[in-house]
Amino acid sequence: MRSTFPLVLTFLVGMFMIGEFFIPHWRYHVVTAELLEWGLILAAAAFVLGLINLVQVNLPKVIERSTDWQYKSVMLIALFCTLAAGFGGGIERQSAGQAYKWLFDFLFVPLNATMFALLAFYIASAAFRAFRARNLEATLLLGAAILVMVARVPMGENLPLLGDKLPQFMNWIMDVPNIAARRAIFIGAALGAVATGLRVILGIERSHLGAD
Amino acid sequence: MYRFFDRIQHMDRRWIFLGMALAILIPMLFPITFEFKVDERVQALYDSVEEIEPGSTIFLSADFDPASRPELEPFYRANLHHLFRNDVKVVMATLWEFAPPLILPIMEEIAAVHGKEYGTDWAYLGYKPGKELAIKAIGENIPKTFPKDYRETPTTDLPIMRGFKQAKDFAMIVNVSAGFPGTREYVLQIQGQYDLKVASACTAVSGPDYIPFYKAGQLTGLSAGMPGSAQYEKLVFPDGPPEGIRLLATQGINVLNLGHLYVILLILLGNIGYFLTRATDAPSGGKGG
Amino acid sequence: MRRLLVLLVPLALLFALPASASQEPADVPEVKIRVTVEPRGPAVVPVIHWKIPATIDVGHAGLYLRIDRAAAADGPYDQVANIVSTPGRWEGPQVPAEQRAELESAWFRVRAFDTGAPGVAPTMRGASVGHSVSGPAKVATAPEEAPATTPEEADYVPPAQSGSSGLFVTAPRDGDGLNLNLEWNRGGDPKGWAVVRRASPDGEWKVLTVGLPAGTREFSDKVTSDPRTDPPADAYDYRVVALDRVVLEDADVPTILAAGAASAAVTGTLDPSWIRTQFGPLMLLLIIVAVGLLMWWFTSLARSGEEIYIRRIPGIDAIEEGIGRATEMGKPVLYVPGIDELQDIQTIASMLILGQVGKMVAEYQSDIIVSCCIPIVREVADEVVRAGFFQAGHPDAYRPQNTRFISSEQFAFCAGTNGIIYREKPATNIYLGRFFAESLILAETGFVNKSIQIAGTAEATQLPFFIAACDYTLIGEELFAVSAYLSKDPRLISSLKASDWIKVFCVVAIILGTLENTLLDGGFIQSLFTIAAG
Repeated sequence: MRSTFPLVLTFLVGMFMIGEFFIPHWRYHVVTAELLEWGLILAAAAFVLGLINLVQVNLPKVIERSTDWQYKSVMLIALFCTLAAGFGGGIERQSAGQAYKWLFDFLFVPLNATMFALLAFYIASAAFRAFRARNLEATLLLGAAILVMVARVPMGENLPLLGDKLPQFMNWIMDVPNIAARRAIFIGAALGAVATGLRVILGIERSHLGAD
Repeated sequence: MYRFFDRIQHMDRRWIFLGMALAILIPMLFPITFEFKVDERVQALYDSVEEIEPGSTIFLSADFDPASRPELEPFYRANLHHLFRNDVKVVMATLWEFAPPLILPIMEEIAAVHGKEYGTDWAYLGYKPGKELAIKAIGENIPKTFPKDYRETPTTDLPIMRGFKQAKDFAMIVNVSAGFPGTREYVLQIQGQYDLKVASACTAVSGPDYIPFYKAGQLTGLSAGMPGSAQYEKLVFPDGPPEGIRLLATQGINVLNLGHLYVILLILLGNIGYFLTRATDAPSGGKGG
Repeated sequence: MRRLLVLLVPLALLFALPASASQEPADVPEVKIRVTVEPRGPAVVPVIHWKIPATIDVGHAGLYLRIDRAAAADGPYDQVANIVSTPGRWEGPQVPAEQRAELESAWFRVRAFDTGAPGVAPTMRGASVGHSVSGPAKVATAPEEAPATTPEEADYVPPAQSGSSGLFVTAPRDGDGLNLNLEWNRGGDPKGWAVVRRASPDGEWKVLTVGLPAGTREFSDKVTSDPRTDPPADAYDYRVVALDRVVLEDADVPTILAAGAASAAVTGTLDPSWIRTQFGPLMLLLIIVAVGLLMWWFTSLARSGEEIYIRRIPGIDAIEEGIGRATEMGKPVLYVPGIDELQDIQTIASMLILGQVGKMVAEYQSDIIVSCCIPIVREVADEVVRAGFFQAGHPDAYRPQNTRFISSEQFAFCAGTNGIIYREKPATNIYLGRFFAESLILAETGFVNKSIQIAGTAEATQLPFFIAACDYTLIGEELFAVSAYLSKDPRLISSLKASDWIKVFCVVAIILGTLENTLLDGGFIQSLFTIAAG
């Protein structure tokens, strides 16, 4: 019963939700909308569990003074300060002058932008390391990448002789081989997703339940 | 020469980072501008906005965060100027939780420049969690999805929202999208179902993913990354920006010149070193997939 | 034999079809148009309404309309506009009122084209009969037809001198039963339009809108926003009012009805549908059923002893090697299931794989750290890894504090996971799921740490970064194959074969559809896979 009930429930709900796409009747969608709302509520409730997990994992390490406990204490202090600022500010928390807004504008925004900016540097080092013309396919990839990078910037459009042709060639690369490959990946992934979904709904795949 | 390239092959990554930092800083301090052409997709986006009848209302979904601000904020600003200049009304909402503090002040600023009144010429319905479900809900019933605007006014009481219940009631949807949820979800969830006109501005990395949607006619226009934003700025302000307005993407795109060239130089150096040293080094481990 | 069937069936479908229309105007479906001349202050404008027939597929590729004008029915025609087809209405440039007669005697032609393709000119998909501008003396020269009962079939009538607005109320095809579409064809120069409604036949009239712009001729009404609390009636009556003055939003119904020329009440009946009848959704249902049937078939073959071959995927083989490496080095395995919600199929696939990986880690008596971005994913991951350890016979070895929720913010999660990599120094990093911009940062950090890295995602935008920075990358559908591959369960492997055969079908359909479109100018196969607007 313990292993059967989840499978039966998964099957029934899964088949019902598949039907939502094919059955437009509003009476059917009333039920599916209700189920989706339940899912949202569950996900929101899990945030409380996530908060508990964060504290459960990091607080003992701070107390025991284990490796890098200082960083964990900074994380916990930031967590509780932001919670306090958010609850304290309430609906107006994003208004000017609020502590939450200050934390967002002067801590979160710069840090977020910094992390994203790291990508520029990591792309350079990854490209330097990985783009080697080891074989024909790698050489084609390399050539296309260089052409697209040059054509994408105004400097490339203004090159003598090539300036007019490069954007056209870049557009061809983006419009033809790029789209073809992405559509192939998309179709393959979609079919894989259908198969995976059916496996879970039909109870063939059970590793997520722990049953075998 | 061999030793030089061998050292290049094995140099500390931090030299690469330093070079990239210089490649970004130098053009910021000493800008060199180049003329650039407008891409067909950006032109189509501009034209689709131009075709909106004055007095119509569009739905703007501004879904970006501080990380994607440099790429998308310039488009967002230019688009608001474009819409308000053409007397198009804007109903805005967002599906990204960190977008509100970014998008609302900009909207208020630009609405004030054009003398637009809240509730009549523009409205901001706030942030809605739920990602794809929220988009589906926007397609079905906007007042139910956003019962109140950010000022706690019931949405149905806003003059701008009279007669607008669903996404298809709007003349167009403009989606400024930094990722997920974003343009793909708008196209997959509601564009086809309601045959909506959707235009998208996205980050450069997502641009190639959305080109098939544009080619299939599911997007009326597409602006990708900072180059797209710069091209759009050029169309909106063909004679240069009015006083007090900065064209952020047009300034930023000049930085891309040297940055891209630097990466190309690194790749070329790496390959030259690879071929020169290949005879003595063992090939690196296989890459599956 | 099986391969032959897959090839023959689409071929039979293709050649059983009649050859599609040529490009001659006489052979394409007719686009019904109605042309009027309407005043705009001191000027007049030509206004064309059109109806794209259902036999032309509009939704997938989009149609452009070329509007031409000529002084006489047989031309020569000059192009005056080139626009998208969706508005259903075009208003031409204003001319002085003195030129009204000339405008009324002009002939307009509307031709619908598709968008073409790179190197291929657009193809005409429909054309209008040359209609003159309708005025008191002229009528449309449409072919004789039986009297129509729906606006799609009816000829548009000339604008009435007074009285009826020619209001049509219809329910959309394959609708949810909550929408009614209004169309009317009254001419004149109203200030705007108002729409009122009541539940038929004896409900109270209610104002729907008073703010429709003057040029509007259609309106879509969702009769209830929440059918749970406000179930719809079976039918509704509508009246449309051509306003001759501005009316306030809160005006009552009698005031609105008195504020202009009101149409008679027209009843629209809701028509909820229990099944979508377009080809596209039916084809999708067929594909899903086909996957299920093929799974069952191949499972039967596997049970009967037949060996099912699947090719080696080095990235999946590397997972076990990586776990072994971690055991030898005494370092943990880091598993990152992506940053998307639990309901995303890639996250689900990642959870399925995590069960197998957890079991392998337990068998190797190593450690696994799972870094989660979404709290509910963390809860599921906790259960899955615990179950894996239990199945391996080492339930006590599982440490719940190794399954961690970091942050639901993308880059905070990335920073936290980087911290785990730097501090815990995992020997093997496994990134399987849906990733976004943080993918390269994670992968580069793992590279610096000299971890073996195996990544897999169906997010095409991130694949280049993983390919550049990781040792093994699983592309797209390979992510969904990992669970079956690792388990070696015949039932799961049979699902791989099933989806592979459907892929063969898709490839054949694409080739045949391309040939049909190119050589025969047809669109039948395309229409089979098109999910039209609902």
